[in-house]
Amino acid sequence: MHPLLLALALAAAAPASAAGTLPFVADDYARALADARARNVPLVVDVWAPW
Amino acid sequence: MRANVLTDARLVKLAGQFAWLDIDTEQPRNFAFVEQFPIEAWPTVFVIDPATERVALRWMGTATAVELEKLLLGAARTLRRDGTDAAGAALSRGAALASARKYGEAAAAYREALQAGGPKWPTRPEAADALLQSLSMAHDPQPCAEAARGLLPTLPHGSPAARVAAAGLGCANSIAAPAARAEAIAVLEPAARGALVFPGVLADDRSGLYEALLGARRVSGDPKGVKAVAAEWLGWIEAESAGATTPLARSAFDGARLSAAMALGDVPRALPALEASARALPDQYFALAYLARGQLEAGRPREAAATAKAAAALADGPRKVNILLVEARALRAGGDLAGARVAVAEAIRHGEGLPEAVRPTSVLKQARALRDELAGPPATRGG
Repeated sequence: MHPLLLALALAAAAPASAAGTLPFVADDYARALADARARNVPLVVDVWAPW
Repeated sequence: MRANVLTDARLVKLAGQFAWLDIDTEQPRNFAFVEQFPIEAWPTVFVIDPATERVALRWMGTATAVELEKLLLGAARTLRRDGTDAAGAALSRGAALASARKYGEAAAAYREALQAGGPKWPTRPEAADALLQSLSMAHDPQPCAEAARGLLPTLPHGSPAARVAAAGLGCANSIAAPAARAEAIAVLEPAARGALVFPGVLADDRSGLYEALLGARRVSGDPKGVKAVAAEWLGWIEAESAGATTPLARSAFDGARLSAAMALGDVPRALPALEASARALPDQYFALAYLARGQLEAGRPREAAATAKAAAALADGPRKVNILLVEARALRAGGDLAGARVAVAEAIRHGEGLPEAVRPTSVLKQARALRDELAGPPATRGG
């Protein structure tokens, strides 16, 4: 519920980041959807707001 | 959840099996997403089929890493097999229905999932949680409380059962008929209290339990009981937040801290922590917004108005409406009626300018009521 996780840029060909965090695309549904389609994987969306 | 759950190694290892997106609903660029996928709780986690944009999972509220792993993998399996697993398919159908705000139908699908999965289905606790979410959102408190009563004895002691207990007691508190309400509370209040010590209960869920317990005492007409629960809740928040390692992590408790202090009738007790958050996070509207509300509740309207004004300058999304409303209330309390009128007009203008899917309708209603109060009584004819 808090913006503790910095948005990480997605490296489309590198699904897991070297830093050991999930490769979230920040605030760009079209881009994330295109990535999911390209890789033929489901899209996980974490919807939040700063409280 | 973003700090502790989504960074868990159990989930990080799933990185390659999904694409990942985070959406801040306060950002105008995300309003189109919210129009397509309505949001009613924060956080909400979706799993979306990229080919059809169909929702395979819609999870409202918190989840532990273990639960989320189970939910994500289950949704992915359902997408791959699409209907071969009856329980998983029903769970997924419930998610799609809940996403369309068809909560009654979603609840029926979740009940079907529970029935098909049977007592040993590994996703049973999460399906029970999802059922309670939908029943709660359907605003039909009696079946919601009854479902919680039926499910709780069958669930393992853990995070989903704690959320079922909190949601069930919240529904019991809303039952209109006094006798039925008292009867449901008599069962679910001890269950919620017992859930406070379940293993693995997340901080947000613990606050959810305290809120439900507070509500139970309130609707039972027990002001001493309300204060006792509030004192216990605030004491827990103070102890828990003392262990936070960053100002941001500590500020995660500020909303609950303020709620507990207000219920206790001792808002000044919360102010030092709210002030510390605002000092440490000067560019975060939420830290200033909580402080503004606390200052207003503590009888310091001029400071509250200034703090709310600073918070409003940092906000651009739906929550700006409430911040401006706090500013207007603070200005009125401080005697600046002209300023209050300007602030409430700004709140209404901002709110009405938002797309319908993100418009905070209940806050806007309060803003319009305040605008009318500030305009004075309607002119009377005659004389």
